[in-house]
Amino acid sequence: MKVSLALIQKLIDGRALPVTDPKLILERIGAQLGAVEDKINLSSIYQNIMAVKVVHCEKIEGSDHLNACLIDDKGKTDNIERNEQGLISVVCGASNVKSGMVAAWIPPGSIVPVTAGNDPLVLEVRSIMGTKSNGMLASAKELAISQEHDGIVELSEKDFGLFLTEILALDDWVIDIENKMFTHRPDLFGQLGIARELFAIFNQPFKSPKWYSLDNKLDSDIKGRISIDNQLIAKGCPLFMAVEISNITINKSPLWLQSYLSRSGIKPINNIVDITNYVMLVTGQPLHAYDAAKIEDKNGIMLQVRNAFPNEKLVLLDNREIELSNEDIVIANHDGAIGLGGIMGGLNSEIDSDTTSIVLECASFDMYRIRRSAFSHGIFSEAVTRFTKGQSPLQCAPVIAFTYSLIQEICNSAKLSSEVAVTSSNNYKYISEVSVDIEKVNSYMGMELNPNKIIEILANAELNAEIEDKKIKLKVPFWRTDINEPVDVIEEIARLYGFDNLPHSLPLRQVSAIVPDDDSLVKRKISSSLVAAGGNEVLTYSFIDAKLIDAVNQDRGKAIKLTNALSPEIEYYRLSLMPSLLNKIHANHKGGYGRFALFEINKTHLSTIVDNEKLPIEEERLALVVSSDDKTAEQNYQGPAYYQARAWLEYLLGALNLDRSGLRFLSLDRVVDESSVQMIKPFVESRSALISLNDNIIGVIGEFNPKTRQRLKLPKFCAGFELNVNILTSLTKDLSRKYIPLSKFPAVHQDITISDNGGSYQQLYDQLDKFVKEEVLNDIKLDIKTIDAYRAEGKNETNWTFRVSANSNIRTLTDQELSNLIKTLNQKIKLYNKNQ
Amino acid sequence: MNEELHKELSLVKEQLLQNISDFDDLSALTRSTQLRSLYSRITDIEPDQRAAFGKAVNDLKNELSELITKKDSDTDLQEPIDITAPFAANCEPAKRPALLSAAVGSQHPITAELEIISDIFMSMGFRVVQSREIDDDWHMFGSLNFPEGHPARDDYDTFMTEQLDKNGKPLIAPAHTSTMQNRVLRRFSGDLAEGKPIAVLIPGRVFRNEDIDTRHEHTFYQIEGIYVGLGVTIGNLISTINVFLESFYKTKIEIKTQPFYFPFTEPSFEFSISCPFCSKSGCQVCSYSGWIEILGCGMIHPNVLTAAGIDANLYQGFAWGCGVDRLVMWKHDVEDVRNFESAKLSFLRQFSPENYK
Repeated sequence: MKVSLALIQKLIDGRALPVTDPKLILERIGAQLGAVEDKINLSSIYQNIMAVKVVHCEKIEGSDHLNACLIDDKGKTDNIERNEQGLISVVCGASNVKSGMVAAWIPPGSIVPVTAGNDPLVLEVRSIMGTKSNGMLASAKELAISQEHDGIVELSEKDFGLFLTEILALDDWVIDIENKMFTHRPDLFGQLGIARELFAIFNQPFKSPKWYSLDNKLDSDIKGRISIDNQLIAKGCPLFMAVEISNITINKSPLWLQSYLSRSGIKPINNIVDITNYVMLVTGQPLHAYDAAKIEDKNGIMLQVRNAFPNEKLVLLDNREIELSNEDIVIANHDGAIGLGGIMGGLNSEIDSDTTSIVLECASFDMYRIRRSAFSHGIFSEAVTRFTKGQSPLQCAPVIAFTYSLIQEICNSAKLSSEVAVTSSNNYKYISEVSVDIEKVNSYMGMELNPNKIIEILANAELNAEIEDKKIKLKVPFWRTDINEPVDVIEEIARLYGFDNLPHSLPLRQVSAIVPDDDSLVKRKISSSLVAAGGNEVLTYSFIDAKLIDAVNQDRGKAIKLTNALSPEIEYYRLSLMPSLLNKIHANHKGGYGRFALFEINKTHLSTIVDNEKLPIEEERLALVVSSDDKTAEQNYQGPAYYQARAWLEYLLGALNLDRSGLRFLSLDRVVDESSVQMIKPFVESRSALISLNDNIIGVIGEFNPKTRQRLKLPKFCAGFELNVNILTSLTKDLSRKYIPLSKFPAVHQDITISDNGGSYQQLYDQLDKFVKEEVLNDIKLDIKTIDAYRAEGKNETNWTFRVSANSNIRTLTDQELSNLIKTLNQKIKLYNKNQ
Repeated sequence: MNEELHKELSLVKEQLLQNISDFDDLSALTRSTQLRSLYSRITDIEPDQRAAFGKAVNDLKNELSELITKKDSDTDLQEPIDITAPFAANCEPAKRPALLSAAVGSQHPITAELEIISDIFMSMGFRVVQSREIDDDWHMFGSLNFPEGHPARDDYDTFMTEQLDKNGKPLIAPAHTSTMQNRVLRRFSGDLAEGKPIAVLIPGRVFRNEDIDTRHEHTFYQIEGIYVGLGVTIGNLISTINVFLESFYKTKIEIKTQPFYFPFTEPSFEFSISCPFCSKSGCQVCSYSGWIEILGCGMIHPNVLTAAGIDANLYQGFAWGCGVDRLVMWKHDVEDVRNFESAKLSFLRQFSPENYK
């Protein structure tokens, strides 16, 4: 929202602004109104540009259009070359330059206003075809007043010798305030509303101009020829007013009007359109003017405000043809739509240079309907910006009256030729009074504000209130559609008093301890342990593309799908974390990292797994992948990468104080639940396992299937695991590390090598463990470590070597005792293997 | 074969080699448009070039086939292994599985920061509850006083999904952690009955459907704070955030508030602080203004409390939401927000002990 301080000054009928220091104004707007996005000091651009008289003008010989001019600046410009008469030489190529005219002159050293900004053009003294040219005589376009570039601006005799800043009130600051702040403030999309706020935040009472009052109505007893067909009235148009004004001559509007529009970001077009736009700038109320001759028929001007018909078409003022639906409100005559209500007029009823009579519309539309309609057609006009904030229907009457008075002023032959035709689809619910307890106000503010002070603060913004029964009763002015509830009044009081002026203090409360939940404790522990082991925590997107889902064999149909993603790379919610990690491996190897372990703790979703509120259940997961390029793998590892991943898993469980004796690895076909089915998809069955801990499946571990490896360019040595953190957390609950007191007696060690007989390591280990428990006395603590494995070439069986350590807490064990034990174990295992 | 054909062939070869991993098997290669168009070209080539070209195309096919078959024959990587074993047989001890050097490990800077922030708020008596990554329209908008079709919804470029919520509306990738407000207020409303305030911090991942660049991500982190009790004031809000920020930045901080508009708070503010990196003397972080805008906040709208079953006449409170990525970017001078979700080790390992400079 662009605010012109000069325009505000014009609106307040000669009263002084509360302060004139722009710096102070900017600061307080920031603190009490909204964020200032940009500010432009117009006087710095226009300060030396002035109205000069062209005293002498003659064609330059040899040029078809250039003129050598001598201009009179009333001697006001310093440091400039003049002839004996004190005149200044300027070359001008405009077709309308002539001696005796008053023109706008940009002296050397000044910038051409239209170029102000990033790359300003600064004029110099130049010689053109042998003639000195000091600066230039400017067109309206060069002065950034309009698009007009056909000839230079002609000023009036009374302007001669004045600076442009004086003629067009360009000694101005244009302040751009963020629109978002005003989402609920329709009044602040008009300069009048901003003016009111400026007074209030500087603690001065504001008084709206006389014309901005419910008493101001356009009275006319002329019957006229406008009629409104109420049969088809669309819902969502609480007020529609139209009036015919004839005897119009279409022209350029006066420069002052064009200048206010252009500095506010609106293109001047012609006097009528400019006036409607100017009124919108001032009041926030959009208006529209139709060429009466283009919409009349032999019976007069019959208007409809109706839902568009299906398949109805309309060419808008910007030449775009849109197909309408019955969601849209159109203004129509007997032939069809002539405008998209509240959004943009139609080309078929556009004002042009031949227009002599207009129908002026001032209406109010439901903000929700306007928003839907504008969105569906992708139109974001100035009118849409304002109507979607909920403009008050009550201001239509004074606004249409004010507009007519401006038209009369600028186009003096204009005259009213109808009464104001009015229609309405529904009554507007105007909440005219809101009360709030003074106590509630004070409790928000944290202080006792004198009730009379409250009344005064509010009154400055024309919010008239009185105190009754320890309540503030506020009479809501017609332009404040945002004040409906007590808290709306509290906001106004606190804001106008100044949030930064309120006493600051911490809330007082009882001391209580916060126990972090298990979930976040476990996640922190996982993360810190894996980092301590050299892992790198990553965060990757929750969304992935179809290509990645396919690469890991997952089922797209199970994934929640985004319907409006700007990029196809983020089309689906991921079904598990592992694909995201695998997707990052190749690039990191290419980046020169030989080996690494990436891990992520995050959420996964399946479209089919929802809670009783029909919301997808969020599973908290941990995925870790270890990867090594071929060269690094050869130097550092032997055997499948699977075992590498397993080492990380065992380390992690240990770090979480989980007893690994209950850890088992099961084949993937044991998978049951739907989300685990997706989780195991990237893995290759022959080299992967479900991880079971104390009979709970906690996740999957392994290497990846050939397609995944190829598609994601994974190196040979690559494996990982994915765990369900929620289950892990439930297992971790209340587990603390078991400590066994140290023995005073030395331990003895001995190795035992036994064959797995072609079976699995786990079977062998479990058997050994069982036999140990059978043989060992109570006082002896025994520890078994796996230290080696040998398989002869071409053989199926592996010989495993375990180191058995034993000690007693009551005596010294002898080597002989341990040897005997080992011997027994050996025999038992052999017997067991034989019987297999 | 002339030079032109040579060029054409080597171009196709390059393309095919680049995409070799997309061919699942040999037939996929033979079916490829590139190879097929080469074969179909043979007939329209000058007769004297034809034989040479045909041979070259065949050679190319054989070369690529070999590569693909070789990939297929990576079968040693599919040979079954003993999944219960701790390491492979015949593996020399030095090459057995081992963890990496602790010196290269790194926690992600965002999770690290979230831990620090959570700890500060826990020390102030706030519980910590994680936010959701998918939610329904009611929690994202309805319960937060955004009426259906309200223009304020336009400020959130939300991702919608094909899947629908229980009211038949698309599910939403939350654009703010405020999506948790209603749940958290309900869950802890018992605290109010016991005469205690509701004080909760909600960290989480949020999403905005916008184009990404060095300063914009579609995925980022926020922390949401909620405090509701008896007689909670605007000054309480300002002080609480101020105390947090001073603790976070370990320095005295000046604050500035700016009125703002959120449907779920009233009054609403944007909160700016004196730049902690230059003590207001001007630096890159604050764009030489001395101030940085740090978060949005306000007094919880009575409608939001009512929607959560809390008596808005009796209780009032405040809420705020703050982007975490920006805090981390400022702290570590991170130049590009996209680094956070890139999983690039060149980025991540800057936070490892090995690379600390």
